Amino acid sequence: MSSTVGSLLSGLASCLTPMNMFASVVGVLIGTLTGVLPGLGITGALALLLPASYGLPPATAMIMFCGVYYGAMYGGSTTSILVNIPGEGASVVTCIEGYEMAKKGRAGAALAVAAIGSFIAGTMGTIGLTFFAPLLAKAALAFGPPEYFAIATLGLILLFNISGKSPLRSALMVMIGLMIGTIGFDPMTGVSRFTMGMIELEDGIEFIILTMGLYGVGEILASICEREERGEMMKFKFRDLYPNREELKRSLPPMFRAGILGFLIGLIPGPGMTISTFASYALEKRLSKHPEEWGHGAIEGVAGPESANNAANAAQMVPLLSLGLPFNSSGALLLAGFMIHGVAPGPMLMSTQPDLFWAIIASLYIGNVLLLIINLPLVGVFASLLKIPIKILLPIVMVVTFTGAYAINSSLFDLGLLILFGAIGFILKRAKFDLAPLVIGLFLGPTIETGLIQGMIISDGNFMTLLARPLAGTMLKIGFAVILFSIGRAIYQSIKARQTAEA
Amino acid sequence: MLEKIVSGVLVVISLVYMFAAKDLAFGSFGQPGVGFMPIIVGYMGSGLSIINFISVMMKKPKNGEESDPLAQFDLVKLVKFVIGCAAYVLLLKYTGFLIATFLVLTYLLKVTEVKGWVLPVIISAGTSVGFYVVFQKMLGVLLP
Repeated sequence: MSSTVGSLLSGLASCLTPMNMFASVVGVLIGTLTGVLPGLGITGALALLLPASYGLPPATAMIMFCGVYYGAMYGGSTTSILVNIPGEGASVVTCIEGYEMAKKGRAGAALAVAAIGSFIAGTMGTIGLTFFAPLLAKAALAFGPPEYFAIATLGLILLFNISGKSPLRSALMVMIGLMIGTIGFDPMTGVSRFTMGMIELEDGIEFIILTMGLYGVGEILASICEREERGEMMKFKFRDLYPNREELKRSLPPMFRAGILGFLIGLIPGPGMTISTFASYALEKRLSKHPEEWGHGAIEGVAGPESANNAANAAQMVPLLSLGLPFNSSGALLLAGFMIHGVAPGPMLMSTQPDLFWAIIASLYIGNVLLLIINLPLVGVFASLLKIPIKILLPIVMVVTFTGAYAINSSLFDLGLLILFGAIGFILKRAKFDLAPLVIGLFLGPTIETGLIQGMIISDGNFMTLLARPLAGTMLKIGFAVILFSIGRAIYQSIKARQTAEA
Repeated sequence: MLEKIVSGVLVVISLVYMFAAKDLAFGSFGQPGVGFMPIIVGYMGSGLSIINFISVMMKKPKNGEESDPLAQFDLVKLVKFVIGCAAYVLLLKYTGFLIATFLVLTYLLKVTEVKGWVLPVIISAGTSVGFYVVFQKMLGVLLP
């Protein structure tokens, strides 16, 4: 306990240098900006910041990326409340009560409650991360490839059972991601696979390019070509920005409850941030003393979900920092940003680069404080950005994305891939295929392949030996049980649907 | 319809991958070869894509379900925009960052129906010069 606090304090000290503080402010500002503006998101933010981060020391770059990660999450609430358009899945629920509050002239209060809730629950989540991540990282030092294979496999199984509407489609998307992940040199032997003779593919498909294409370019294409116009933005005055005593009193308990709920849900692989907002909304609605207000601007419906997604956001950093395994697309992207700077999060990071490990965690605390300090007074400025015509903004964002993608490898071939994956992302999303399992499948592919092959060699080809290992065996058995359960559930639902149709 | 087409394409991709993977050495369970993982993934992906395709083909449309998910998009604008992006890659190679960005950004702004010529030209010139100064001169990023 005391060593954790001591390490955290030393991390805080290294974060509080002028350069690192500046990096954190820039990260939080750009993160919020990209959360507010449509078609950008965390991919756009990273595209913008990757080239800018090359000349920075790794710790400074990591601190900036963490600021983006947190800022983008908060920025989504602004569009939800003011325009009734969720920036991402985790802001969908905020639209319900937030926009209703805005229609009643309480937009400022809703935005302020979202900012305060993000700060409180985000800090609670970061405290959980501070104590949980080092424990897991220490335990993970004893993990071998079979354990990593088992954890990654279980994570993927849980992911495709939780995310999207169809586990079958999510599983298929994971497989497509794994297929793309096998393009290039085999990690064990160095033999070239599926490159079709193209030298550019020998190092495999760059994860960031694929993610920027699927999410960034795909979303820009969708936003540009959508026939529907953006909704009307609600106006608010600066003096209305602060919630009154009654609103604050009603918001605080949901924020604390959401902090705990969001953190616990965020630990489960999958779209924890989105799920936590729905869970918090349902919980607060059930506990509310003002049931008549729900659907008409209940402030608890903004405070709970907006807090929950920030706590879940921090929780999702636990496997990312301690195991080097991300289970959501923004986490995978953050990790990719780390790796570009030669930083490989995982159990070894805490023992080999403790300063960096604790600086990253400390930067999350600082990011939370900065979000509150910057966003409350600047919310009007951020909201006014929504007035910029989308038809001017998005072509410029596209150029930024291309410049960021080019800077990674100085490769025009990567830009071709960016367009290709952008078009694929646009089409897959319209055909109701979830993109996150594909991205995570690609990212975890090498870990799964290396773990599986080394595990098979260690066990001399006997899969039962793998199942006999305490942790790996338990994880794999849980995975099998989840698969059997989802197959059973699908059969039951199909029979029930047929019976209903016949009746 | 789009769902059916995409599901069909995924079956083709998975099968092509599976057959290509079979050309790689599987090895044995005790000594996995270079094709060990691809072959497993190929079979699983093919199986899942076929099940998905069958379920999509057998699915009856529900009342009120959107028939064409692309109806809300202006596809001509989409194609023009993608062509602009593809042209950008080529222009970057032959003309360099400044000229390519100016030309393509002007084109993209016209595709997105920004009125007149003065505003698109000013935005494009400002953006290309601004980005060049920030990325190449200040941040040291090697632009084409």
